[in-house]
Amino acid sequence: MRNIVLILVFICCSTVLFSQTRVNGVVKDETGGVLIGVTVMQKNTLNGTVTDLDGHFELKLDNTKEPVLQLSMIGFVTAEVNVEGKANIDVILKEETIGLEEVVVIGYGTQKKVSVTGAISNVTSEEITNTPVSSVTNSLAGRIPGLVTRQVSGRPGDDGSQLFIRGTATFNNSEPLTLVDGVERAFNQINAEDIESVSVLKDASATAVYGVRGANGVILITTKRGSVGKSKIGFTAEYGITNYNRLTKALDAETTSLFQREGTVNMGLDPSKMSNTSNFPVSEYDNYLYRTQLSPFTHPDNDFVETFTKPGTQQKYNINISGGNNVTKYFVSVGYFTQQGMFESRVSELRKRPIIKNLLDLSPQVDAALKDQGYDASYYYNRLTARSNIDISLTDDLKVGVNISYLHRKQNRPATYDGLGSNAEGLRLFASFYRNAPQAFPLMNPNGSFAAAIGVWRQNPLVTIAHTGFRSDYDNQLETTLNFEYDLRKIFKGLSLDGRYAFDVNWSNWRGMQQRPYLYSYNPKDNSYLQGLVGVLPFQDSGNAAAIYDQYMELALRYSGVIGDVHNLSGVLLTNFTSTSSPGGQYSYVPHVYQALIGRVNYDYDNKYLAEINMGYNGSNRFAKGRRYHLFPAMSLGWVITNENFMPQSDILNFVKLRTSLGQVGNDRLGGFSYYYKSTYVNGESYSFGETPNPNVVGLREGRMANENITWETATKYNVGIDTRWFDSKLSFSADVFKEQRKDILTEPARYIIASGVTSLAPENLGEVTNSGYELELGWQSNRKKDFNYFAKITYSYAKNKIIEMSEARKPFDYMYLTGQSVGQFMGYNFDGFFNSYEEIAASPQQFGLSNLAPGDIKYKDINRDGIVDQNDQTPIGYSNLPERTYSLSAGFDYKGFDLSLLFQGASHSSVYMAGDVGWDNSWGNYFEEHLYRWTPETASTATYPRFLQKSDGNNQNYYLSDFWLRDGKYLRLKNIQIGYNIPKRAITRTPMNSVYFYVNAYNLFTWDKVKRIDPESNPDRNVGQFYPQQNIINFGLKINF
Amino acid sequence: MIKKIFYILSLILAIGCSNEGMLDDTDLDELTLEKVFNDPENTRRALYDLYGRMREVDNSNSGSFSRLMSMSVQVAMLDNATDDGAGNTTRNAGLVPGIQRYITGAITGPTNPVVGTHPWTFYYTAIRNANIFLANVGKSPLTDSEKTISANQARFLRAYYYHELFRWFGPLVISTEPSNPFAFEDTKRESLTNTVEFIVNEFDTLSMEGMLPDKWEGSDYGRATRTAAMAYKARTLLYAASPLFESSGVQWKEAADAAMDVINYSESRGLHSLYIDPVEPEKSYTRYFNERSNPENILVYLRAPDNDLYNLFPAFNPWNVNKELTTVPTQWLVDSYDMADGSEPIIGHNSDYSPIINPASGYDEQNPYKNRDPRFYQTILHHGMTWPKVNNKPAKADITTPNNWGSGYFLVKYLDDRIDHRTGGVTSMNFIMMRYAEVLLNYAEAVNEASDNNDARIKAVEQLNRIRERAGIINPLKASDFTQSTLRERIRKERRVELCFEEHRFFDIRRWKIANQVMNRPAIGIAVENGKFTRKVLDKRNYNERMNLSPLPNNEVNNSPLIFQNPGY
Repeated sequence: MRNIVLILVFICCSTVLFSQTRVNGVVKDETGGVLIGVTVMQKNTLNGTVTDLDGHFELKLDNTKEPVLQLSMIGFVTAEVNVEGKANIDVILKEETIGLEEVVVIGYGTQKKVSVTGAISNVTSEEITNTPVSSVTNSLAGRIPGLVTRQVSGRPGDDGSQLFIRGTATFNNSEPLTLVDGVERAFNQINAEDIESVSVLKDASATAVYGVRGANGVILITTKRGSVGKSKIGFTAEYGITNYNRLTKALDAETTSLFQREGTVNMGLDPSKMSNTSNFPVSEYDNYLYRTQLSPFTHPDNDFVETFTKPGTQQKYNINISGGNNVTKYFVSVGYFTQQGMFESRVSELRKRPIIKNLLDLSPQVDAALKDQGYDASYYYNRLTARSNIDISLTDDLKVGVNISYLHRKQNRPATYDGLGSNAEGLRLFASFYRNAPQAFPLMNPNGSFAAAIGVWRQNPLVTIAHTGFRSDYDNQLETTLNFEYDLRKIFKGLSLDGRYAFDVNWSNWRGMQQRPYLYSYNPKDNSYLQGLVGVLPFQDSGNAAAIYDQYMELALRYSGVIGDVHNLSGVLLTNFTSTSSPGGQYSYVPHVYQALIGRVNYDYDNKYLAEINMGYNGSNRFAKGRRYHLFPAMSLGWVITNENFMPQSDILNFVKLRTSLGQVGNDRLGGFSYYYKSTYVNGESYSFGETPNPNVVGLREGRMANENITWETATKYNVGIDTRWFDSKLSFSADVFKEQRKDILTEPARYIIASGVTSLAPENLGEVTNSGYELELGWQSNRKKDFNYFAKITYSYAKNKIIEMSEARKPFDYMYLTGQSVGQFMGYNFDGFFNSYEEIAASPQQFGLSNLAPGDIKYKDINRDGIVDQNDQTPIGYSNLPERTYSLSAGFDYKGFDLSLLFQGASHSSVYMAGDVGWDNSWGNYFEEHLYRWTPETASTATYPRFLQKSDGNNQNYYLSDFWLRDGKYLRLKNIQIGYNIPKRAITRTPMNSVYFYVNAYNLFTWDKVKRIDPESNPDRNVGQFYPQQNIINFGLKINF
Repeated sequence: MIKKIFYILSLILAIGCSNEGMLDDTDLDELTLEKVFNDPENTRRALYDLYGRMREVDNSNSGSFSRLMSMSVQVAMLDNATDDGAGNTTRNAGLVPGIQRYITGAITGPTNPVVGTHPWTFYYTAIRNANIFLANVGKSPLTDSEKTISANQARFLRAYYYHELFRWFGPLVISTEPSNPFAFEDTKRESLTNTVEFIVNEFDTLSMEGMLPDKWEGSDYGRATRTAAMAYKARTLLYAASPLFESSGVQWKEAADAAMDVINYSESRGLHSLYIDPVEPEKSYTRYFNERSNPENILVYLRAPDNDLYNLFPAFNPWNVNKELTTVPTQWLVDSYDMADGSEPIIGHNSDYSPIINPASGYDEQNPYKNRDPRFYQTILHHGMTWPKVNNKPAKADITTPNNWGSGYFLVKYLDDRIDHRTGGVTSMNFIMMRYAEVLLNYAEAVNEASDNNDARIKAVEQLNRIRERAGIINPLKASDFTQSTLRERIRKERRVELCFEEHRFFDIRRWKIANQVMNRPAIGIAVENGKFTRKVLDKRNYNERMNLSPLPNNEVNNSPLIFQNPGY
């Protein structure tokens, strides 16, 4: 901070040293209103000021430089005024016509938005930083029509969203290609404050230049750069509170006991004699103890959620400095983000929780044994980001740039039972909440040992969270880019040459400590302790992953010019080379290499008729020789109708552009393995011979067969769009309709002879999927006023895919084929109510040949009417996981320094499969509220859940995948809301501060959905408890600009 | 000017196009077929893999005794799907879908019997690997003699895999070279006769002089021998002559002769005999299972010595190990054990499953474990019995304590009472694939079936008595006490007792076609109620005749027009 002050002082002083002329002035807009905060700079100097509350400025000119002032303000056209000999000037700034000069980032270049003919959407930095999240992917939700986001986890540092551009059209990896500043890089953890703009390229015209990697769409991130002018300093500080969105409490111990009993009786077993699922005592007296909690060591009633969670927190600090002069421009930024998770791991805090406190009070041994562990096992995430973007003009024609960015991440969490493995959710904390009945075990035994129960030894959260050790993961990413731009106007006007070289390295390491106490189950009958898991003495370990090196080179020749006033012609010819290697890691010996030759020609006639041709000629070493190169072409046309002479100038209809494109792009992300054209031999079974045992020798067996003909997926994409602006450009409406045909999708043939003994067939380019849909965007932006502005925007997107071909195994009935359905379509049985009597069972189609059905069991439909429900009665049910429709509504206003903005985001036409830990009753002894409505003879007519049995598992017919277990995945949520206040200028005129802005914002504050028990965007892994619940965030912030 | 632009353009084009070499360097660090068979050690490892596939295991249960059933439960033995076992009836064993379905009769074509490893898939994978080995071993840098002997072992294992498939499914798809997975028009199931003929011919060829050695010694102990080929030929013929496979045309006499060939060859060369423990001959039966190298072994799946209480067997109360009871013997099996003097305590069962007691035997339903066949105590732990070492002290099984006692019996076969399994001594626990006692039983069965005369019965009883004598039964059986059919029952009973929990009963009740009777009864266990032993019903069972042969994977039948499903599915 001191340095910043020094720089400021230096800048101020430097203006005083030279001989000076004083200029006064007032800046107004076209309506005559004064403009506050206009930057007034003497051209080509660092000498400048800002207009005050009366729109007035005063500047001392440096007489050694040109006496020209540049006046600029966002939303207005920058003006240049020659003030030679003038002491007083009045300047009127013209309001910028929205969009006319707006430039968007496109593949390998930029383009004026009005002349874009492909399907490209972009988001501004403001919208991104509005959302208080660590991952930029989450702030894109609802912002861009056609971009589907799904946030599947809330784990600190790993809560980013999966992104799908226009849904999916492949069985393989459907992640979009992401580039940061023109180089393929992840942007998941980039500092949002560093982002200038995000462009999403959707159709073939926009992505063909990415050729083999463009089929899933492309996301381009551009970071901020310095501009000529006074140094600006921005400072942001935020503090937020996070809470889980959804976490269902288990029913209390007494109800659980009654349900256990009911299930045991339903199984035809005697609950007083036979063991039921988890050996819980279930007599009347036991229930009395559960109810009264008189004996918490033998009859506990644990509320795990209440005991082991707490609100999390997050903090964010960011400072950036930017500015520049004729020679150098710079943008430097440092950010720090930290997030604390939702699990309470501090023993001192846990001791205050009622359930544990009760045990401490009852047993001095527990009190003595439960001590702070002296290490931090909490879930937390720290991120430090630094970025420096420097542009240097060496001569008038030659510019070079140096971009360096560094990212350091640390994730901390408890160790797992199985050691210090890398699976962060493998310890299944979530599962221990969901699985265990409240009476499964007391958290500690009366003798001070840690408690658990047979079958669930690993699920005492007190041990999992606070007594298994910890693991910290460190991740570092260094990205450097060197680029140049050489204006070749001396050779030919409009010609330029540019290039860049990027070198990125990512390295990570971890350290951790594992320990575990012995676990015992207490038997009150004979006061004995049954030893369960053996304890582990503390041991430390550490490790590191092989570093990954990425290199990228690019050289481009560009032309842009106007011929005869009406022929606007531009083009680029570019070649690049990419290599990824990781000595000692994956692709240890052979890097992944791509090279490409890319061309694009844009032509427009008088801004009326637009045409663009793109092509990418790509090579990839993932394929066999002779199949490594391919040409991906695309073209697009546009027609700006409002520029036609026959269209009268009108205040109603300001702008209409029709666009259409078609082209081909590829996808070579074929899943994990890269060299499918080679066969493999892999480790097989181990065996050892000998009269005395020898060490096992690992056998070798055939692995995957080879397919030399393997090649990339090809997507043929069509797009038709319209952009319009109405009523003085206040209303805007855009629509796009698209269709995509994805061919040659790499698929493992499913029709083959098992008796041939192959275990892994080589994938073949067999699959074909079509994907089509539309996107609508309707916006209203009020005229820019001094006191009151408002806006509203609605987006709606629809994308539905259909599998045309996927090499399925032959099925006896047509309805059993996944072919013809959507990718990821659920297939299963059809729920047909509950059996209500044995007569009904006898009269209904047989169910899987089972002889032990009873009333209250699920009845499935006999689809093929062959009298038996079996595997042949599975049909498509519900939808897939991925929503077909997404929509959003954003709106906001600002009034005299106050502002409010809202974003509602929703999705529909998806299914959520509720099974295992989160769906079933009694999978480990637990029950939830919805199980109150199970089938019993008395409630037969109103039951919404099958009868209880001994233990639910997927092999029992009631729990087979059927539409009974699918929930409608539609939801609407208040994704983001922000209320802010800008301190009036006059309050800070005497400070070095330019603006001070306070705000409160919130993420995922409200959700309306039908899933209820868990977040509707959850990941299927939640069913086995490997899941960290999504969080909502309420955040307070302060932004100061100097 | 134009020239300069041209230069720049050509530079870009040159970089973009002329560098095909940049993508060329794509040799992998992964193994390929060529790399395996160019290297002697890798070639040998390919053979190791084939031995590792003698049992249906995969990485998740490698080395365990579990077989075939869902990989999520490793302790379930195939015998739980017979009337000898009741693993399914106890707590949590619903997780064993294969067993569960074999017991409830829910096996249908579409619901494949096995969730983890389907034997059809598993053994054909093994066969493919053997075929690849046989097709490539000639190219390897091994010496000629090692090539030949390695190829013959692979060929033996291939025949063994076919034999396993034959037991499960009957007629098979046969190929002796790596086959094309897409040859839908050419791949067919052979007739039963051709299938049996193929397997028998393979073993027959391998039984010839010079194909496989009589024995392997030292660090090669455990590889395929000539007697193994002979014994498997005999077993294949025995199965083929059985009622289930009688359409194969194989006669009992062929099976008897083949078994006698093994006996004659073994004894003339001193290769195999029934194991007698030199220290505790009265415990020879149980000691046999803990001797890694042993004259009774003909083919065993060798396992590293371990303390396999946790992985292999259900633990019960004295051990205090948390493991569900998934392998438990039933009262049906207990009733099959003779008295120590050789008399039969129970000669049948009433329709309410109560025993028909032979009063002459001295058997007392309220003191049922007194004076039984010594093998009983070496196989089954019962109420009141003491196991010598549990947590360093003797432990007594008491099924009156409240606990999860399953059937009231616990399997201790394969366990070594000299070590403390709980605290971690180690012992040898091989899984027995073929042992000499079985050869004797195979002979006894075949010879009794081959001809209905006293001479045949003398031959059969002679072999039974060898086994019973080793077991410690006092009085030998007399051939003159039997007819062909009563001796048949006695032989089957002997086989059941001697070979229990060695995965024979599952196939035996099928090939004898008695599964329909024995598997339509519930499993029976024992409880002590009011101080009295009370038989209790453990579950409800349902058997369908079609289950004598298992269904092929449904996809196989749907995908391949010439591969038909087994009848009834």
